Amino acid sequence: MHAPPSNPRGVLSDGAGQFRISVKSPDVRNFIAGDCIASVRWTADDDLMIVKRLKIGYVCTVAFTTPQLVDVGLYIARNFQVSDLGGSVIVPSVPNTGELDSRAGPSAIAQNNGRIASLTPVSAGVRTLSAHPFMSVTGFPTATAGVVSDQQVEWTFGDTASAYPIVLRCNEGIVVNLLTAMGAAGRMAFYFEIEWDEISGNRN
Amino acid sequence: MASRTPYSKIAPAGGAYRISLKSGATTVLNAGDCVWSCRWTSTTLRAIIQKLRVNWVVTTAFDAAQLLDYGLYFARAFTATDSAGTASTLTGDNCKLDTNFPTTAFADIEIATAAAVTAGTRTLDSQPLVTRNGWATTTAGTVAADPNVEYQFGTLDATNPITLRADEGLALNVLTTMGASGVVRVYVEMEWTEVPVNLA
Repeated sequence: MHAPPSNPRGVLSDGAGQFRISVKSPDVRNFIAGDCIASVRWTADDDLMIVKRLKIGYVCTVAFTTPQLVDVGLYIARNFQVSDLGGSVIVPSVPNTGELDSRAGPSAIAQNNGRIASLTPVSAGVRTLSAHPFMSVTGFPTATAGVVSDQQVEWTFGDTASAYPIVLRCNEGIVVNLLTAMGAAGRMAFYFEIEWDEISGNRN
Repeated sequence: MASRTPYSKIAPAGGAYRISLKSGATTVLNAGDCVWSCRWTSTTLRAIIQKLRVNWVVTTAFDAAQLLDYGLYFARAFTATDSAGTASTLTGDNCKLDTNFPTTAFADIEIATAAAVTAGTRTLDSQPLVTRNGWATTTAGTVAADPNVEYQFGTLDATNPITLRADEGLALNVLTTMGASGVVRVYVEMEWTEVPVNLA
């Protein structure tokens, strides 16, 4: 029996600031598979975005005509050349927005580079998604409104001593896409929460 | 390994990866059928499996309510890779938790289409490492018991991860035969690191 190899070079929590935001879409309908529900793009040349916690969930606010699977996948997006458009802007660069400690200073996520769907999906800019999600959330809204996603928890990355966070570098990001098309009539409110550290890129 | 991993005090010294796969609309799978599997072939690296999540959703109800359970087995002595499932794309930056990491060395990670994965040549343990269970009613929408659970291996100081050496892997098998008409989508997520053999 042996423990995983140690790597004492690192730190468990570090950085210029720690941030968290929670955003909610309006009651959307008729989204199709592949539509973008939320996205963030990291644009700081010299710093890293260390994603520690994620939560994605939904509530069926208006029942579907036929009960159906509703699932979403979270992807890492690389090689952003054009930011996503549309939806509602998440604005962490407004002073103190999302700061877990107001001494940290504004997030380095550039304004307009975080979005959540409005009544229409976020429109994909130019970026390359990973072939597969790194995380999925599922549920099966019935013909009665009020069904929520099965996973109502927060997924953690790199918060234990031997686990890694998600590391986003310049022009990388996270994209939340719908995996199964929504049938007629049904409406969904989506929630997206993300907590991250921002650290100097010269640490790696 | 060129990877530098400074964000954790005792994290394995190698690249970190994660993937989430969704099956096709599986129907009438028999006990012992494979719905997901992976095979590790590198002789210079080892795969340290740290997190695993298995969930499912019954998208079309079974004619009769029934037990629905899956077992995750350690597979050893691979000589032929599994086939016939939907193979994941493991090239380039896919699965990396940090783009600076090398491309994953996993040879195969696949999940069932509507039919089972065809087992290659490998030896499963007699008992699963993990069992996920639930009760599928005659109403669509039932899911695994506690769909939030994520198994963690070796993430606490006093625990060990699952270590895959060359020609070892994991296989998720059906434990109870699926009755007629029921359709199930299975979701499998895995997070791992890849470390030099002299460190694991």
